Amino acid sequence: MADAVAIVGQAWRTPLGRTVDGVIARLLAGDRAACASPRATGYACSVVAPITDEPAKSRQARFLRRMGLFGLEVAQEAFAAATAAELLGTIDGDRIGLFAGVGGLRAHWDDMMKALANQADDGANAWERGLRDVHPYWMLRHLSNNVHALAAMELGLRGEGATYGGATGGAQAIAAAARALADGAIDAALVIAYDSLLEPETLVELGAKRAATLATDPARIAPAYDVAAAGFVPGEAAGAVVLVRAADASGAVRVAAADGADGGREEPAATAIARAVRAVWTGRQGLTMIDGAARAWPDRDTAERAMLAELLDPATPLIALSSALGQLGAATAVIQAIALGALLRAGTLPPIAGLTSPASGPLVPARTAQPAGRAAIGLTSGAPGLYAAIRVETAS
Amino acid sequence: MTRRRVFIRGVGAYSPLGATWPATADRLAAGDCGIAPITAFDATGFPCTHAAAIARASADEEDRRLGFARHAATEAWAMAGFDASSGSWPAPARLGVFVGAESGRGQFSTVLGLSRAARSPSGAFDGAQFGREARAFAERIDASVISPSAVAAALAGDYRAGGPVETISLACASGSAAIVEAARAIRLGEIDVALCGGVGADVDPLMLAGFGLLGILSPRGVSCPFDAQRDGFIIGEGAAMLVLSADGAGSYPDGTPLVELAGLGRSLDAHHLTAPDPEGDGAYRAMAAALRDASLPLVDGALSAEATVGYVQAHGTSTPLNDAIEVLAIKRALGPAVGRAHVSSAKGALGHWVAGAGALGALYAWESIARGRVLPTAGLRDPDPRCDVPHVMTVALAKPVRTALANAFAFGGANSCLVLRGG
Repeated sequence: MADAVAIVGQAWRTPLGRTVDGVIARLLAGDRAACASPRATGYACSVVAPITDEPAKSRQARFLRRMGLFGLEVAQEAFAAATAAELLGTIDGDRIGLFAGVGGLRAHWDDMMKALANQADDGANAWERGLRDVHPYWMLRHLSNNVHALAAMELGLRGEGATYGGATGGAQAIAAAARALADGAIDAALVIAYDSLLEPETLVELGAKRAATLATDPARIAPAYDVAAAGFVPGEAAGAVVLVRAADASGAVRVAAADGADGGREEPAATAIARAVRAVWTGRQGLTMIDGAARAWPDRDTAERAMLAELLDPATPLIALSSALGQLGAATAVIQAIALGALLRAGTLPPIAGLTSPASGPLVPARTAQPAGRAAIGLTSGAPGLYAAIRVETAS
Repeated sequence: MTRRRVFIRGVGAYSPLGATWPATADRLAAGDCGIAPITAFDATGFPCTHAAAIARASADEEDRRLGFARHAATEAWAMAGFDASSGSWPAPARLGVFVGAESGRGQFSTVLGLSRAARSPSGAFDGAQFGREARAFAERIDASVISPSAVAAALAGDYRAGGPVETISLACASGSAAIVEAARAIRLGEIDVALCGGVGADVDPLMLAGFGLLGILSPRGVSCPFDAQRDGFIIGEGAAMLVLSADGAGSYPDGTPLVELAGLGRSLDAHHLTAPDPEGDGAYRAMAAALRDASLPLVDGALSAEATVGYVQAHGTSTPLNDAIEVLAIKRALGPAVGRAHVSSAKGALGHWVAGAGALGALYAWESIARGRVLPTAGLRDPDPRCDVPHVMTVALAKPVRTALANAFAFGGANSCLVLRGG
């Protein structure tokens, strides 16, 4: 089973708010962030779960777009929280690593329109026809590791780390940080993950593939595990956690992560997701809740529940943070780590927001907030064939 | 904690100089260079008009990363000798895939079509119009194929890997960092075998423009790391893959003992988004960490005078600043032992593979140990006095090498170094 590490600092920006306590309260109340945002006007998939804040002014805005700025913000907040708690006070910057999970490059069309305005169909003379007018910082704004680099600079983190890409980027980053801690390469790690499924090309793709809901009334969208589920709500989020070895923070929430891919181009098969579940949880009993992959299509939800029942107690409560926050892509695992840790600490699991008619099957979709115990797992799934699981536990 | 040793069981490459690593290495050894004027698109007027490109299979080829990586992976896996029929194939849960890769890109014509679909009368991007008009394009573009994780995910399917499948997008250090991640997963007992490496496919109008606008490409179209005349890098493309294993028994097909991946070191400059630390401190710390991790003795921060690193595969981009700073860092890490090392850079002959560069560097280091052949820095004729290390110029140097260091340094100040050791 994957080794757990301790969370000693955390911060996030989510569609339900920016403070951990505030968002947890809204999750427990069953609130949903789905709305008909102006950002999705004109798209087949028009109901989304956006972050409603804007990033604070930053000197790094010349290099980072909106989600990157959120990523930098949460990195600074999480690190400050860990530093304030004096948990990092004795660790030199050379021994603090930085790991980031990102969904992938986005087109950033605003930067490209002028450069493409006068191009020929065959690309002839493309430089003179406009590519020479691309902003000199375009490349830097497109660097997959730009947040990673700028966070290292801002916080003086000189240990090791990398940026991990794809829908499981957040889980990969947690797993890599845990490896580096176990290998003795660092003594603390800042893990950042951010993603938005609301970018223009992503919304087009999700609509064309009918992965996301095509419903137009947010109030009528059935969540995952409901008999009427017909696609998920695209969301966006940024989260950051500071991790140390479990032995160095005995009372802290612990997290472990595992990931994989089944080789397909679409969503992974439920049987493949089982590998990640097994990597983070080996017994059948003891889990307080499972935050499902929750893709909100009856066939996928049914297969996921059947797979989980093969591995775990079929009476385990099933929740879906994505019913409230939307699907969060590469940010999922870090947001789950923060949310599940806070919920376990609060001793309460949240309802599946909007669930009115649970589909039949094993596990128990939560319709109301309920008492919670000590351990939970959270799942991520996304194309191409990517899956991940995290285990979150409170100290005994 | 018991840390398992990690061995390189197979290597493979797909490059502008050959479809396999031996074919590529033979041409590199002879001093050949894969850099040529760009013909895949009209590069007229670009700040650099040369690249080390692999010929396109067809004009409408979309994303080429996976094809490159599959070629290299097939070769590396075959060399490793895992065979399903004999039962030697790793159990799925004990096999992981770790690939250094950036996001792929659609063809320029596709990007152009999408921009036209979104153009408002004022010329600005109109999101609502994009939503309506771009649907037709969505049927032609499979976004999952250009996802950064598409390469690793597909290889996981090819080789039935049920362990971790990770994509490291760390710019120019991606491939090396992926090897570090794979080695660590084996070392800690998470898996027994890893397919790892990196791929770059950036000979593309947008990437050429992006790098060109930053002023870091060679206007002359020449890559000559460490040369007094160096003026920027040349974009290259290709894939380099390795198969790592916890099992050090056996040998390569030619009877050579397996090479050990003995040391891993990564660091962050925390200095600047594009420029390296002027003292090379981040690069030095990554090298020192890798040497220390390989249990090589360091005295006052430098390799002990009794120890030897026979070869250093430098990151060596051929940019004026980076090469001189890297040499500073190499000399600081190796100390007096630098005189016994030879130094070269792959980028003189094959250009800069970006996400694939670090993995290509690992193959250069492997070649020095497994084949006793130190590949040269193509293009280097007149070494810069600030880059005064023992260079390998023109053609390969026959030299028995027991320990080699491979460097990879990225935009953003992320550094990754590997120490390889012979049996």
